[in-house]
Amino acid sequence: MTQPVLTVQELKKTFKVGFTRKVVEAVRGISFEVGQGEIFGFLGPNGAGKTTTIKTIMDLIRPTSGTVRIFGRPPGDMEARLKVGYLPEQPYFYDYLKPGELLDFFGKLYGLDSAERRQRITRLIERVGLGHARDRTLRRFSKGMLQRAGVAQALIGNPELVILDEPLSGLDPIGRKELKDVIANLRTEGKTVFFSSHILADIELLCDKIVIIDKGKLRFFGTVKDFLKTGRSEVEIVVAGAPEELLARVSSQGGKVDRFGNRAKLVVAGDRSRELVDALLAAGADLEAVVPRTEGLEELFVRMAGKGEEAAR
Amino acid sequence: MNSLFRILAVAANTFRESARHRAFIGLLLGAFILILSSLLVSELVVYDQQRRVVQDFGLFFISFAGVVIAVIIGVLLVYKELERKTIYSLLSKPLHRYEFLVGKYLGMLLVLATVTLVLGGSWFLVLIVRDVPVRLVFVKAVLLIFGELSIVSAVAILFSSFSSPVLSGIFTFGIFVVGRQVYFINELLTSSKGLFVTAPQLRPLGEAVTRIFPDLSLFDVAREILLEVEVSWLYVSQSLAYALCYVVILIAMAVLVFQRRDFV
Repeated sequence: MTQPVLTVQELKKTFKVGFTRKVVEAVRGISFEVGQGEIFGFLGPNGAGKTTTIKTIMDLIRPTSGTVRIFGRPPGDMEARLKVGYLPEQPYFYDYLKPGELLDFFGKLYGLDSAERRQRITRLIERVGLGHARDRTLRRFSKGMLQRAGVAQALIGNPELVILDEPLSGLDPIGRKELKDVIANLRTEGKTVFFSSHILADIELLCDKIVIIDKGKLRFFGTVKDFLKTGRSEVEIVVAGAPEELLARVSSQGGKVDRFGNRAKLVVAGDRSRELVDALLAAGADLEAVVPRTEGLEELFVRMAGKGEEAAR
Repeated sequence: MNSLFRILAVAANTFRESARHRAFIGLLLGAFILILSSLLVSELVVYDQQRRVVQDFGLFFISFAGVVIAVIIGVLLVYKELERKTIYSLLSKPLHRYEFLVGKYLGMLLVLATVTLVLGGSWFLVLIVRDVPVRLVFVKAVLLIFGELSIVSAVAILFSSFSSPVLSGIFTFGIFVVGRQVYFINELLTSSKGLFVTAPQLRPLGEAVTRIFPDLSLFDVAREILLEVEVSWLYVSQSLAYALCYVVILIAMAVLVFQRRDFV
């Protein structure tokens, strides 16, 4: 079995805040593993502890307890750092530099020689779509352009693991599409991508595996497919001329019934749909549509976050 | 070797940041004008005192402007990285925290060397205009000012690694003022009269100050210049070695503090 690229074990982080040094538990013992070549989504509502976890992985924050290993090494280890690229949330860079100068500076920290740096900088600036702005200093960049520069600096060391904190926030739809393409291409290059996002549709589309945390606790760790299986499956039936007693029975058994004159829209649990369709046909009703509906990532996530809040209360 | 390369990369970037900063250029220009203004001041005194005025004022202004710039840049150096969150992307690179801090300090030394060079050069210009021959001791005086600035900036970096810029500025300036008095406190401690005789309970405090605080009067040779006393190269190199010792200790302490920090 190949070694996991990233391992987080029983990670806890507490902060002492304010004058009274009140203890706040930002991360409460989360564990997960990221395998080679995976696109890994890191989900959670605001304040869930995502950025704290990512900063701990990057050794910007030291854990209260638990361990983080990158390629089997501690996060501060230089060998591990050489293999990781990181885009912080809301990236800020030296605004007196041009994108090429920023990448050149960071390239030096990876020990790249000047020819290699030049080559990578030219390629990366084009790849993230900043070719038109190469002569502008970063202080004249829009938020979306800074995000692109941020992705470029995360890739300057040609890392095996790319960690992106909210990479899609602040980008317009075209920018989002381009960045999603960049992430998808990283997968084809065999790189591992670990990214947090609020935009769940993107996670559903891009990720192999996800971790969901809420209030510092792990709520789910597994494949997107497995997560979606935990969702409710329903069937929507549009019907004309259905007998009133049948509609009343659906309603009394927990189904949803909306009437529009002679027609009705029924929503029932997936396992009960077959029986209902048979009954409607037997009663001579006119079936107009039978549409299966599966709860998407977003709906499931909202429901899960809601449960978390209830539990906290 | 790689470590040195990374430290130098951070130092070069720190220097570039200052060189492109309008406030720094304005500060440097202000100090330059201040030194040139000694020409005007010298017009107000009788002819035979003019040479003395440009000599004294020039040296004082270089030292004064240098300390102001060292304190301002020193306390903002690390703070700005945290405030602008640029430290996140930097420290996530293959860069040790100590390399970051040492690189920042070296970059700042480069800035202070430029400041000393520009201000020293303008002082020599003023001296030439006033027909004062530029003696070697003037060069030595400027070198010693640089030594003093290296200590002041290291103090600023130490405080800024855990404190706010305003507090760091106040503490650093306080240490500079006390450091300039260490020589006199030492004299008072050995004297048979004065403060420590009338208030002996203050003696331990005075002794602690002279042991802990750097003696910055070592870097001030204005009196020697005035009295035309020779300042040897041995004295200059010993003073610079003294500065280096303090710098190493101060930066090591700053690294220890920085190593434990969370960058939230």
